[in-house]
Amino acid sequence: MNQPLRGLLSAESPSVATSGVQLFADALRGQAVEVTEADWQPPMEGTEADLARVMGDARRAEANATAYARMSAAGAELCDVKQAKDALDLERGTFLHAGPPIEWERMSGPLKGALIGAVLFEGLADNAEEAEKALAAGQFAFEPCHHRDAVGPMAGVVSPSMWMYGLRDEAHDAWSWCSLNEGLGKVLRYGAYGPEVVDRLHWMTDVLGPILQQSVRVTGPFDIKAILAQMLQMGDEGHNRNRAGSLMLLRELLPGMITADASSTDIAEAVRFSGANEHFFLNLGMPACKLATMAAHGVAGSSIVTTMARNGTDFGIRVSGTGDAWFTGPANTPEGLFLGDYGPDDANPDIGDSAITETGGIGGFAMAAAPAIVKFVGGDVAFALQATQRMYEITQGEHPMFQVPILDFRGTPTGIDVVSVVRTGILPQINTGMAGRVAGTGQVGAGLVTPSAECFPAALAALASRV
Amino acid sequence: MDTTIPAAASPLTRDLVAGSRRPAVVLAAFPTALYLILPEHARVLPVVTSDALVLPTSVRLAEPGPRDWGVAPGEAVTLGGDLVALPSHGIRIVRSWRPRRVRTGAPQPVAFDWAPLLAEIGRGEGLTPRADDVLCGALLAARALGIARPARVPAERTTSLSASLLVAAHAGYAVSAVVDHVTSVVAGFADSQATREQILAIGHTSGEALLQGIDLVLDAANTPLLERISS
Amino acid sequence: MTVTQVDVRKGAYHDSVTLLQVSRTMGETAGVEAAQVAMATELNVEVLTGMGFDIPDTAGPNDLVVAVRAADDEAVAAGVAAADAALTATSRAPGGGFGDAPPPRTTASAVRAGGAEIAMISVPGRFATTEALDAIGAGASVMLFSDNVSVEDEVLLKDAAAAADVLVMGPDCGTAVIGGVALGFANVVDAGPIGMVAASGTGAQQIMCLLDAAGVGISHCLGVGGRDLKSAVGGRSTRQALAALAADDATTSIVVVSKPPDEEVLADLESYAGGLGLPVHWATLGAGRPDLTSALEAVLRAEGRDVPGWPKWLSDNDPEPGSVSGSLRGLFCGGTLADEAMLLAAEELGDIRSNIPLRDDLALGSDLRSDGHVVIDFGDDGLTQGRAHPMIDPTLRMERISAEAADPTCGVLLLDLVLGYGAHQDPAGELADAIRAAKDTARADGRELPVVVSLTGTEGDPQGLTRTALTLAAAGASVFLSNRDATRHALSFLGGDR
Repeated sequence: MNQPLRGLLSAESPSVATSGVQLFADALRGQAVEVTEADWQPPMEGTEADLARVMGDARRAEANATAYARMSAAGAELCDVKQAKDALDLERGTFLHAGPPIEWERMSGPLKGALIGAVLFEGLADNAEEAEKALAAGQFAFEPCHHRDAVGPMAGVVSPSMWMYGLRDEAHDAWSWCSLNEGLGKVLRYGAYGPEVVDRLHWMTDVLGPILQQSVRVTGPFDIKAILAQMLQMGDEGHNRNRAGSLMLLRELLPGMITADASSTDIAEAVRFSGANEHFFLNLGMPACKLATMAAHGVAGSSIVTTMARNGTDFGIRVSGTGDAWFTGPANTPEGLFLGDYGPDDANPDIGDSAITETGGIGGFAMAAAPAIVKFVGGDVAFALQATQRMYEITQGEHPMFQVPILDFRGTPTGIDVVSVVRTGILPQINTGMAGRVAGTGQVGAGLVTPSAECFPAALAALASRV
Repeated sequence: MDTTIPAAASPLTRDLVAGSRRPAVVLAAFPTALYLILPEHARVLPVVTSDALVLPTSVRLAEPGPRDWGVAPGEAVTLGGDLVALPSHGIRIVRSWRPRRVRTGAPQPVAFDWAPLLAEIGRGEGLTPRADDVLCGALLAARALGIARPARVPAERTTSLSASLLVAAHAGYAVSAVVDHVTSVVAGFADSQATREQILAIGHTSGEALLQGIDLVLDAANTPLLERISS
Repeated sequence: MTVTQVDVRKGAYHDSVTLLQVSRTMGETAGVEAAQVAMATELNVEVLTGMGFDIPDTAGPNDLVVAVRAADDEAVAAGVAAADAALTATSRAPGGGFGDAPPPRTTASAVRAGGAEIAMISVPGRFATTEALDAIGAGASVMLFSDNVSVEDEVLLKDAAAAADVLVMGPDCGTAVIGGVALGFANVVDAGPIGMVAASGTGAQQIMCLLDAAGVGISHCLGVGGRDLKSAVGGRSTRQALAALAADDATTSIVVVSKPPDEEVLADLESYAGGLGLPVHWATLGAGRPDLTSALEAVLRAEGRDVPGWPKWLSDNDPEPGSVSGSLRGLFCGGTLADEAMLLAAEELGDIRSNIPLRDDLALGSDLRSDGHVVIDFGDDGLTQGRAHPMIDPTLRMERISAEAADPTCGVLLLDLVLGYGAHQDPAGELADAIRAAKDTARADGRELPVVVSLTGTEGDPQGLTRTALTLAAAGASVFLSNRDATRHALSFLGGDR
C-alpha cells in the first residue's frame, strides 16, 4: 500500500512550498493551490562552499539530533553550595571572568572594575590603584568561567573565596557552578568596586554562603529545571525576568535557611537579601543551562552551538562539533531602555555568560512567554511573540519541558544550529542587562542584543574543515 | 461582485458549476464549509476551506477558514460558468482536484446481505444520518474486497447531503482518511490504529459509524466459508 | 546634459522578476532616460556597463545596483524614489496582531510549516543545492527551477532523494504537472491517461499541447532535469518517475520526452521500462531519431488513436518557396524546440551555428553572431545568469529580432512562443509588433522577410491558442502548433544560394 514517492501522485491536491521567484507562488495561488512561501534571502556572504560541505556531511543530521537530545534531556539539581577554591580548585591569584579568553589590555571598563574589586575583596591589594597596577603588571592569572564548567553573569568575575551554587546533571554525570547573585545597583558584576561592593562580598562570604550551604545540604537537592519549566508559564523568560523563579527558589530554600545554625539576625538579613532580589534565580538558571549545553558538547559533526558568551570586548561561541575552539567577533552594544539619566553613550558592549540561557533555549528565545519583558527591554508584545517564533528558524528542536502558553504550549526553540544562522542571517536574540562603560559605574539599563555575526561563518568554516 | 477567489472543483460535482447559470440554495453555512443544494435531489455542492474536512464532492479553497460566506441558510446563490456567485464575492473554479478512490478488489465469492443496511437509509440525526455512514463504510469496504454490492442505493430516502455521499461511496469515493484506512486493512496491514483514529475524528459520530460499516463487511469476509453455508 | 547616478546597496536581495518590474517602473518615470535595477552579478554588471553606467568594483552578486540616467537631478531623484516605492511594495507587509508568525525563511521551513508535498525552488543556482538538500530532508519532492547547478550536486541531490523516496525534478526544470497542478511553465490540458516524464521543459509542453490538439489528456508530467538522461546522471530521476507513474491508477501509458540522451542511459532505461507492465514510449531527440511531432504521431497510432492535422495559421503575403536568399535565423526561448529545429534544419542546410551547438566546433562566439545559419536558445544557462528566463523577460530576444531584420544575410526568421502558466500574460501583442517592425525594416531595405512562429499552447491556456495565433498571423507571421511543421515551413523559403 506504500505508494512510491510518498504518495505524491495520489495526492488529492498537492500543497507546495516555494522559495525564490515570487511569480511561481502567485501562479500556484491562482490555481487554488495551498502555497507556503519562504521569505528566502541569500546566506551570509562567502559561505556557499562551507555550507555545501557541512550540509553534505552525512554525520550531521544524526549528530545534531544526538546533541539536541542530550541538551533537552540534561537535568539540573541544586545539590551544593561551596567556595570557589573548593568547588573549582581555584588557586589564590587566579580569577575567572565571563566570555571568551582575553588579556588585561583589551578588557572593557566593567570587567577591569570587577577584577579590581575582586583583588580588593581577596585582600591582594590595599587600594584600587594598587590593584589595577598589579593586574596590569600581569601578577594574576585570568581564565574564562566556561573553562572550569562555570558561568558568571555580566563581568562574571569569580575569586577563590566566593561561594558558588553547585548544580548536578545526573543523566550525564556532570556538575556546573555559578556565583551567588549580589542584587541590583552598584555590584561587582557590573564593574563597581567601591567599599559597599567589597563589604557586601565579605558579608556574602561570611554569612550568606554558609547559611545557603546548610539549607541546600539539609533540605536539598532542589530541581532547578522544574522551576525553569514552571516560571516560563508564569511570565518569566529566565534571563532578564526571573521574578516567579526567584520566589519559587526562595520557597524551596527558606525552611533550610531559617533552621540554619546562625544568629537570627544573620538569618533574617540573609532571607531579606535573597527575597529583595528579583534576579536571585538567574544564578541558578544559568548553570542549569550550562549543564544542558555541556551535555550537547563534543558530538562529532554536530553544528549545534553549545556556548555563547561575552567578555565586554568580544562575543564568543563554541560549537558541539568543534571542540574547545572559540569563534569570536566584536561584542555589539545592546539596544533598549536606560536607567535614570544614562543613555546609549554610557553603555558598555555586551558582557556576561548569561547568554548561556539563550544557548539552552530560554531567555530571549522564550520572550513570548514573558510579554511583560518588553516594558524592560523595549519593543511591544507582538515583537516578543515574533522574536520567539523567529528563533524556530535557527534551532534544532522545541524543548519538551520549556513551553510557551501563548504559543499553544509550543516548546521553546532550542539548540542553535550554526548552519541555519548562516543560511538565514537570523542571529540569536539575546535579552540582557547593560553595564556602564566606565569601570565602577554599575548597571545603566537593559535591552536586546545579538551576537557578532562573524562568529558563525567562522564556526561553519571550522566545521567544514572537519568534514 | 468585487473579488473572485480561485478554487478547485471535484470531478464528481464539476457539472454542477460548469454549464449554464442556475440558482442554488444555501443548505448550511459554517466557518469552514458552505453547503449549496440544487433543486434536483441528491445534488449537494460543498464548498470548503483548506482546513476543513474535504468531502469527495467538494469545491476546495486554498486558504484556511474561518470564512464569512456572506450568506445564510435558505438564501439563493447562482452556480454556473465555473463560478459560484455569492452576493459579496465569487468563487472561480480554476482546475479539478482528484478525490481519492478505493480500488476495486478481485471478485470474492462472499455473499453479503445488503437488505438490512439498505432498509435503514435515512435513520439517524443530522445532515448525515448514522445509518447512512454505516452503509458508506460497508460499500467502500465491499468494493475494496471485491464483494458484490447492490446495483443501486435508494439515496432519495435520506438528506440530500447524505445522498450525495452515498452515491460517491457507491462509486468508491470518500474522504482520503477513509480511503487510506480501507486500503490498508484490506491489504492486511496489521497496524490500523493510526488510520482508525483519523476516521474517528470525522464529524461527531460519522467516523465511528463509518468504521462500524467497514468492520461489518470485513467480519463477513473473514468468517470461514463453511460456517456461513451451514447457517 | 544628463545626470547619472549609481547606488550600490549591500545585502538587499530581490528576485530577477521583481527587479524587472522595478526597472520598468523606474524607466517610466518622467525625465528618466535609462534605468536598471539589478543584482550585481557579472552578467548584469556587463549589461549595466553596456548601458553606459560605471559600476564600482566593490559591487558583488549579493548587492543591489540602482542605476539611473536622467535629464536632471530632480528626475534622477524621482526615478530612485519610484524604484524605492516599487521595491517596498513588493516586500510583504508584516503580519499584524499577536498571533501571526514571521514567514518561514528556508525552503525546508516552509515545507514543514505548510505540510507541503512539493518544494518549488527558484533561488539563484549557487544557493540551490543547500535549499534542495534541506527540502529533501524535510520529506518533500523538489522541483528545482534554478539553473547553474553542477552535475556533481545534481547526482548528490538525486541520491539523497532516492534514499528519502522523493523525486528531484531538475535542476533547470521549468515544467511539471502533478495531479492537475501546473508547476512553473505548463499548459492547461485535460486530465487523461498519458503519464509524461520530461527531461525537457519546452519539449514536454510541445508534447502536451499536441496531445491536447489530438484530444488526449495527461495524468501527470514529471520533470527530471535536462541532464538526467546523460551518462553523468544516469537517468536517476527518470527511473523513479517511471516507477511512480507505473504504480499510478490514473496512468495507462507513459511518454518520455528528452533532448538528445546518451545512448547507454537510454538503452538502460528502455530495458527498465520493459518490466513495468505498461507501454512506455520514447520521444527522445537526436540525429537519426524522430522529431517530437513524429514521435508523438507514432505514440497516438500505437495507442490506437487518430492523428489529427496539426493546427496552423498561414500568412498570405509570404514569398514563394525557395525564393529567398540568406540564411535561417532561429531565435528560441525553448531549448528543446531550438534543438529540434537545428536537427531538422541540419538535414537540409548542413552546419548550423548556435550557443547550444550540435557539435562543439559550431559554437557561436560571445557576440552570438554569424553570417550563416544560426539558431539561438535565449533560455540557455549562459544567457540567464542574474536575469529572468526569456519567457518572462523577452528583452534580449526582442533586440535580436530587430537586429536580424536589418541584417541582409537573414533570409527567414523562425521564432517560438510558449503559452500557458508561468509564461508572459499577454505575449502576442509585443511579439506581433516586433514581427511587424522586422518585416517593415526588411521591406525598406528591399527584402521580403518571412517570419515563422512555432506556437506551443492550448485553447485552455490563459492566453488562448487561437487568439494568440491570430494576433501573430495578422502581423504577417505563419504560425504552427507543431515545431516540426514550423521549422519545415521556414526551411521551405530558402533558395538555391543558401
